[in-house]
Parts: sequence; structure tokens; C-alpha cells
Amino acid sequence: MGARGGLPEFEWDEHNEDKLLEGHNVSALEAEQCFANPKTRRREGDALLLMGVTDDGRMLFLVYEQKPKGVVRVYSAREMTEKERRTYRRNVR
Amino acid sequence: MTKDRWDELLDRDWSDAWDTLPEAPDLVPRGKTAQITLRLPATMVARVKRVAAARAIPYHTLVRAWIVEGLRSSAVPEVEEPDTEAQTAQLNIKLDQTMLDALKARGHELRKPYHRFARELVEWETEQAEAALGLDPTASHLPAIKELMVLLLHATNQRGDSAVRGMTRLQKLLFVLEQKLAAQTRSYAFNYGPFNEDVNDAARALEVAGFIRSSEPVASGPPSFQQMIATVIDRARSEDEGKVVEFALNDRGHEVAETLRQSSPSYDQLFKFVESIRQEWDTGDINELVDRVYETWPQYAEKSVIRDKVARRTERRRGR
Repeated sequence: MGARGGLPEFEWDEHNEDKLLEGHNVSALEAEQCFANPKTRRREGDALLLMGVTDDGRMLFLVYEQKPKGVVRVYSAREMTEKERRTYRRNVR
Repeated sequence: MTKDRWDELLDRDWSDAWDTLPEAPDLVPRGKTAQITLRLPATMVARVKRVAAARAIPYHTLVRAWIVEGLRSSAVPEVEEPDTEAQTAQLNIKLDQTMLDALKARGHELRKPYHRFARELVEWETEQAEAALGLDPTASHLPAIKELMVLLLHATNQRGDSAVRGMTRLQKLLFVLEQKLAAQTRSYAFNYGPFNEDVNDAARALEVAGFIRSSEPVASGPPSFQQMIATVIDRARSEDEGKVVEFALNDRGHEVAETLRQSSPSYDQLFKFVESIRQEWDTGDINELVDRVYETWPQYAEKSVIRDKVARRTERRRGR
């Protein structure tokens, strides 16, 4: 894990960390790595969506929110579907 | 965002819709410093502060040192699962980003929330330090003064009034509460009977946090001990002149108090107890409250400059 100067500030607590780990075996670190590595991001109403990849190559889809001052709170994450992986690759090329 | 909403977003395959959606807003780079907020039971925070006081160092310095040590060592803290006590208190610990990143990496390695790793580290280190210092971890702990104050201002007296009129009344009611709760108090004997400067501090903190409205403006920055004493004396004079400071929760404060009350059966029980004390002791006349406190706990009136005056008043009341 290298320096992550370009990363935003994240809002974590035991509750949202637990949700990610228990539900989808995604750690806070892995979610943050998806923001640091090549990614594609979209807005869907009040929610923000991200397709990204961890340092170990896990391809994840994340739902997050951007709070005042740009603080990011990740609500949920899962592995990308096969079709989403193709969409990801096309977008980050 | 509700859980239903994020479940709905998560359940969908976004491959087809992705290119039709607008771009998300730019990310804002983080600063150099960071902090971690650990939620703990109020009694655990009290224990951490007690260990820090015994070692004569600020508690946040102590907790930061524990986290640094915990990251250096490969040992994993072994603590019991948290009990049912509500995690109503928090510790905000400033860290640099490198340390916070290392903490996240350790959480990732252990497949557990890094907040939980840090919290367990603090709990484990507290137990070790208590053993080394000979402190009794099971000694009775009073709830935090802010929690008691919030519940006190949420409860009502016999007239159905939840506001507390006067700093003297607030000081004395919290003193009575602590004595009745645990036969101990954080107050000590001072110029006007039992006094605890943390009460002033807590009232200010609640006001700054936007939970409380008092009828006096609050100065910026933490007050010095001398300023607090001066404020209390000044307020005591003001009360003699009929100008009484009133402490009351605003709507947000009442919401917070209600959330605290409903957070666990023990807090609900504590609230009922606080209310019974208000009904019994907050009976209108401030002199009556002061006289009863002096009479019931005379050791806290020893240094009082109004002790004789109070004794004469009590005698007259008895003689009636």
C-alpha cells in the first residue's frame, strides 16, 4: 500500500465497516483502494456509484455519498458482475 | 440514504445504464491530519481518563501511544465482546494519515473493522494499565456529568418544568443526584457548599454543541478555573438580585436526551431515577434546596461562607 495523497477523506465507524465486511467481505482499506486506483464514477439521484479495483485485483462496485467538505461515506460494496467488469474496462481504458 | 435504497442500488446490474448516467462530482483530496472517533461505554472512557490521570498525561496522548504501540506489535488484543452497556461516550484521537492508513491495513489483515481493533486495543491496554497501577476496574463509576445534566434537564419537577433556574440549583441538584446514585460525588466543599467546576464546563459544552440554551451568552474558548469560580460567584450574586440564569434543553437537546434514555434499559432506569430526584428535591425555593443539602451533607458545607446564614435559616424554619 503506497502513499495515497490524492484520496478523499473517508467517514468510517464500526457500523459501516461491519456492514461491508459481514455482507460482502470488503474491508475499509479495500474500499479506499478502489478510490485510489483507476475507477469510473457516476451519479444516480442522491447516490454516487463507483466501479474500481483493489490493490489485489478485486473488482468492486461501491455505493457512496459525498458529505460536506467532500468527506466520503461508503454505504455498501459488492463484486462486479461479469457485464459490469466489461463496462469498467471500457471506461478506464 | 436508507438501507432499502442502497440495497436497491446494489441489487441492480449497472452495465447497460452506466454510460447514460451523469459523472459523479469531483473528489476532494484529504488533509494531512486525521482523527479516529472511538465509541465506548461511558464507564470505559472514565477508566481511560483515570489511568491517564494516574500517569499524569493527557488521555488523548495516552490513547495515541497505545495505538502506536499496538501497530508496532503483532499481538492482537484479547478482550471480551462488549457487554450490553450503551456506547454513549466517544474519544476523538488525532492521528497523522500514515498512522491511520496503518490502522486500516491492520484491520484489513485481521478482517475486522479497524475501529473495533483500535477500541479493543484501548480496552485491553486500560485493563493492563489498571492492573499495573493497582486501580480497581470494578469501582463504582458515576455516569458522565454531561449525561446526568442532559437527563436532568429532560426530566421535570413537580410543576412540570424541565428548565433548571440558576447555576446554584444546577450544581446542587447534580450533587444530590451523584450522592443518591453512588454515595459519592465529584463535588468538593467550597465557598457556597458542594461545588464541581465540571458542571460549568459541561453546561458550556452542551451549549456549544447546540443542545442547551441558557439565558447568558457563552464566551468563546474554554474558561479558566478562576473564570468559572468568578462566574459562579457572580451568578450567586445575580440570583440574590433576582436575575437568575436559566438552563434548558432546546428541541434538539430533548431529542438527544430521549435517544440516550431509550438507548438501553439502564439509561431508562437512570432517567426515572433522575426524574424522581427532581420531583423530590427541586421544589421551588432555592434556599430550601441549599438548606436541605447543607443539613444532609454537612461535610460539604464546612468551607461555606454562608454556612451560618443557612444554619440560622434552618433553625427559623424548624421553629415555625
